[in-house]
Amino acid sequence: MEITTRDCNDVKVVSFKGRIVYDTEEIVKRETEKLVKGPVKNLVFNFGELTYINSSGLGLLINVLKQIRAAKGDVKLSNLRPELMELFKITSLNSVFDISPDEETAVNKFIKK
Amino acid sequence: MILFENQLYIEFPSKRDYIDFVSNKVVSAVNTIAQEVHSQNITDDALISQDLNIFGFGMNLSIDEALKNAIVHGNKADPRKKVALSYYINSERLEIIVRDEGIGFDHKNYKANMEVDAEAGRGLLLINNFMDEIKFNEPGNEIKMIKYLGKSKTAREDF
Repeated sequence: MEITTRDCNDVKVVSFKGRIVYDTEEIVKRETEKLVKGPVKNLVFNFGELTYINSSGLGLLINVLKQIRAAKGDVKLSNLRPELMELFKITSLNSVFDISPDEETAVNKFIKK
Repeated sequence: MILFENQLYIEFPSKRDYIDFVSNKVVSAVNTIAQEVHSQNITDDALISQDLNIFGFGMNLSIDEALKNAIVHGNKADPRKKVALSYYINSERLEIIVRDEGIGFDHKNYKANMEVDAEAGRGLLLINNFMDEIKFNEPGNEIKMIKYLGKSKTAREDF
């Protein structure tokens, strides 16, 4: 599991590579906690190279989203693979998260605000 | 047409560390079996070389969620308690049974009644969506998940 961040104006783009499973949850928790505590609350999670996530991982993402929204920011998702998109639809989480087809669209949603 | 069947039974202690390993191994094993038989039954060379990956993301996730439920909710993560997984595969279907040593749960009245942004409780919802059928034993400490090969039914157990 690799998580890399990149600043794009006032938005932090966070790229996830690998699988979020029990064995990698700690890494995700640690990295997302840094984001929650950090100064930039406008986050784009690029899931282009995230190949797997289970219900625990979804719970973790919701936890991050709630904390970021409480701090008046948002977590927008982009580049979801078809099977992940299906997962978000099944769980109705596509209505909780703002999901964009690509990173640029997601970043622009913050800028246009 | 080659008819076949294959089965496996494994038991392991209730530790979450095993979940990913076991679910990956099972998916890989049933895929190997299904693909081998599929290629034996196909006469067109072009189709033989196709990587079918019959069981993929949804199967992996369903096993993952069933094992997690067994370990965390069933056995309360007590490593002295075991989780048993068995699978049976033939030309028509794959059945996976996961059993724990817990007291079970009220599967007849279970409804995924939850807030859309709740942080837990989606395991069974996901299994129900990716599998063709799911069944519980009476006490509810055993789940049977069925996936039909080729045609995918969307029959649902009323739970």
